[in-house]
Amino acid sequence: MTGSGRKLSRCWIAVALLAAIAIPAVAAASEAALPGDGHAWWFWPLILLVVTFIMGIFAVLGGVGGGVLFVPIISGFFPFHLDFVRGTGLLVALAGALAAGPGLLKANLASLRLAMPVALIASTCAIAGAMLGLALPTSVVQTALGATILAICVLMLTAKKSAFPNVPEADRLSSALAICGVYYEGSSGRKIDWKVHRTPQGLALFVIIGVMAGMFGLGAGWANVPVLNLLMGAPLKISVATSKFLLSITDTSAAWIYMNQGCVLPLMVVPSLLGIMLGSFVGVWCLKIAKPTFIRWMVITILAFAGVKALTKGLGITFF
Amino acid sequence: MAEHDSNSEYTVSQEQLLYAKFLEKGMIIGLVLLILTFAIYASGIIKPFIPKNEVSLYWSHTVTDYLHMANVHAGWAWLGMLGYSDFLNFIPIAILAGTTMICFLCIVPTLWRKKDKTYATFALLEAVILAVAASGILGSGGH
Amino acid sequence: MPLRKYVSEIAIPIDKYAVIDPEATLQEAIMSLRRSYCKMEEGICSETGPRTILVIDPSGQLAGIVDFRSLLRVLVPEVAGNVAERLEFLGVSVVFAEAGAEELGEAKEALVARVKNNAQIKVKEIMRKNKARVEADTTLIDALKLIFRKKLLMLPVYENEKLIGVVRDADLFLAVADIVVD
Repeated sequence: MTGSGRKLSRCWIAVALLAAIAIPAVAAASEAALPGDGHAWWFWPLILLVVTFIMGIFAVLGGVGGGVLFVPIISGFFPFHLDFVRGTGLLVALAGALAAGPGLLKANLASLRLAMPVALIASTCAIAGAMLGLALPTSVVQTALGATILAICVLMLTAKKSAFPNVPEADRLSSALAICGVYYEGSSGRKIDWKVHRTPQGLALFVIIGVMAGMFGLGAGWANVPVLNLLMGAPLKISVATSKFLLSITDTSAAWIYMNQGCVLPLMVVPSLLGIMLGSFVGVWCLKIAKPTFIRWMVITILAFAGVKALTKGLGITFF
Repeated sequence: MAEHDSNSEYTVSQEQLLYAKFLEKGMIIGLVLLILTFAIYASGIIKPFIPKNEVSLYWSHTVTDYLHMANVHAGWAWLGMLGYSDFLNFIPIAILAGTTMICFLCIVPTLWRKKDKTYATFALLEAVILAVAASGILGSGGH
Repeated sequence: MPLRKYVSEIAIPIDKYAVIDPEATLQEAIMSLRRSYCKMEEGICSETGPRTILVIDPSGQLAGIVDFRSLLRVLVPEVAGNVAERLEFLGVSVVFAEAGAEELGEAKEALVARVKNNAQIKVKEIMRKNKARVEADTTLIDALKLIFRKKLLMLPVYENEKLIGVVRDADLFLAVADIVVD
């Protein structure tokens, strides 16, 4: 095996070892099997930990946000109800955004000035979306979720990215609010001045994005970045960083609604959170060694499967 | 990534640095406490309200059914249940969820002093929106 | 006994030592350190010269010290920084990798440009405080004890409250080595 191939397979060995060590260790402390589904209390949390760990790695390797993977996959292939999955998913996405936020702000890659007006709209709509999502019958939400996931897959396959969009001049709104900035572009060593345009249209789109984020418990990175980058013209790095930062605000507002309704179970939240965070770090490490191109396809395919699963669950059809 | 001020042409704004500072603190405190409270919960040192092996009975039902069957009250009622190790976990979760609200409140004075009334209002408004969400005033009917 | 010699006999005089102003940039510090550390005329860089620079403020007081570690920590924080700095760097990498922005490789591609940018930081922002000092009439053995106990690279030498030179761990080693050689 080549050097990089050896190191990459070490990733998988590490994943397997994690599961192999964790199971006997926890078994030593387990209590009697429960009456319900015959498993000890730690069984499903452990599965969650391992699955979210792998999810975290794939999210990074596939160039996909962890937040968009959690709800579809966990709700599609696990016995948890959509209510709890959404609550957990929001907290998981939130934690990731909180962890990344300070670094991005300090490096001036996430722009507070760009984020705040957007956040006002997105967080209000996320609250509305969350309330709506909890009020609607599960089957309706499930069907809508399925359709949305499939649309996300299409978006991921087709949407372009623009490293430095051409913004001829800032529009009136963004000039009035002074939404612009300078950041240091590492790869070229230059300082880039940026500004945005089409701000009103962008803000209007964030209404929809906010509602969807709240209703489905998805991290909205897949939507934030195209709007900020392609529509409003912010450089790609600024868009990505500001989007991640925005998640911390949008997801906070929706998470509170879910929390106050009781949709948060520590036994689900903590393993998922730890799993995804650890997985992300391992993913970055793996990425520095090798980037298999098929992983993105694999991730989108799994996501599509999850979308179809959600759709069929919601519509009451049973294929698998 | 270096953050330097006087000797390079760009400066990270004061309020942005302040926000980042509080965000970092809240995040670290929340995460560390979460691991701690979860260890207490998982180890069984303090008894939880819902025994650990019964939780899986509830999570396949809707949240309304869960609240009803497990005799749990939604909203901020968890504050009264902190004697149980599962509800103890809600403290760090609330910290993580509440950090952004605190950050926005903290930057309002800085923005106001800079005479940036628009953004000061934005920050205050955002903190209010988050507080309203957190307060649980906006209940929903459930299924 | 050679080790009963005084520090002043083996110290490098201050006018032969690399010094720099607190307001200078790291770039200037690096060039000065490199010049004094390497025998540039011979085109090879062997450990002959001092590995540190003294930061002297305009009033002539010793403000701090700059050494390899403190320079590297700032120039390449993702490698040489402390845990918090490396985690922060990694956190940012996760974000860009998750979004599929091909610019992961803040470390790989951008190293040259970033190091150049970080070199514009001023010396006073990264210098270390001086932890110990000796007088000109301190014996070598006492100086050695101080260096080992506090894990230092060098000690500034003072006489009548005035900085007159520097004694390095290398010079103390050479003094001990003389015993063996003689």
